[in-house]
Amino acid sequence: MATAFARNQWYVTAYAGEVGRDLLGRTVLGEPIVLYRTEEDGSVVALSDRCVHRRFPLSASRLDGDRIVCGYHGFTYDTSGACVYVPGQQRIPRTARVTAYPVAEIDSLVWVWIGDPQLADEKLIPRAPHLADPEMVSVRGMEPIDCDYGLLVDNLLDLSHETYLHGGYIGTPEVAETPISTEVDEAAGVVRVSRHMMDAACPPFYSRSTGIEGRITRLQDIEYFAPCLYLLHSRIMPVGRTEPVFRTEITYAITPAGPGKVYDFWAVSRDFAREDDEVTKFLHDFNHTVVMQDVDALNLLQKALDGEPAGYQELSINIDTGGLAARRILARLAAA
Amino acid sequence: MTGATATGTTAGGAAGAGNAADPSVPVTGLVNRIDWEPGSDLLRGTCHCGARRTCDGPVEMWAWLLAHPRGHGNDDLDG
Repeated sequence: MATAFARNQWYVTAYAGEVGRDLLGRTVLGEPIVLYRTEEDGSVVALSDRCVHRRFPLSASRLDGDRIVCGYHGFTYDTSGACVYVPGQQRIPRTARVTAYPVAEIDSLVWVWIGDPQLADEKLIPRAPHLADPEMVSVRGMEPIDCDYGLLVDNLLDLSHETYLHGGYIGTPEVAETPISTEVDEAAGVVRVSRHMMDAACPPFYSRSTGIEGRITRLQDIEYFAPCLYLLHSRIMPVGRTEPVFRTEITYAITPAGPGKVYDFWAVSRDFAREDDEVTKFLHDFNHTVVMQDVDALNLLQKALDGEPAGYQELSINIDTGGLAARRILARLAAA
Repeated sequence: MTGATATGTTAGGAAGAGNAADPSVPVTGLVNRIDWEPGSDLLRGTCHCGARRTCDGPVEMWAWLLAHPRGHGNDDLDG
């Protein structure tokens, strides 16, 4: 049961810091894309990553100024995707052009529009302002997973798995035990899931970064902006107190690379211990470990599902309330 | 790595923080809600029209909410 792709949507394709004067290749919804930044004004260019001539990957080629010169036969493209040079002849075939994708660089993320470029509207891009907020410190990474992107959506919409898959890291018994509230704005394609643990054990992720030694009030408020952006607004404080509040914003961008492949962009932003490099390194390394636990689990799950007969059954319970809503919204977006 | 000082928002600002206040995010106002009632296995659904229903599984609950207004006749309307 592969999750259908939703076209005419913005997708996070890279972190802004990943895109420079080296050519970067990514694949989104099965479309190979090459990204680079112009010398002229530093803006990001996203072109189809296949030369029109013999389909050589342009990401394995080189830049000449702001033009890409194909590394195989020298076909040369400008920032609009137009071919401006072919080897050995004056006439450039009229069809010598690669697709140029609409790009927006917002909140330190590079978003690429997949679909009809006439419909690309930057105002549709959901925001993650904490990623570029000078009052927050962020760590980040990206892991490719060999699974249907719907499995990652499922994973993130139901955090009860923290108790089992991430026990001893970010999970405690209270996560799975605490009832959730789910709100869905159907037309806007937004799912919100809240889990408020008023008296919970403090997992190492928070005890080691905040210094809290006792039990905590732990508030998890998810916002999922289908299809790509997922925000977990996390607030913790010593139990029975209203402050200090330790604010952590956990961001995921869920970008389908192709059938059975997804990019898992992740970031952790905090408003405390901002000057403490040890905390920064700890949160990066610890969260990377947590992400890899998900990566391993989802790789394994996909393999298991691939061996299932068509039409296999699942069983959904209360913890799946948000995930079911997300699946429905993704199906609607894909059918649009 | 201990004794970090928290800054920023208060606890009261936690729920719905971030994009909820962002004008770029489309909000239709047609929000369906499902609350898992504490201390039970029951789910309490609230349709965007105010109709409410209790049942014990999310599949059934979403089906009822999305069928609006069908099936609302025998339920307690709220406001």
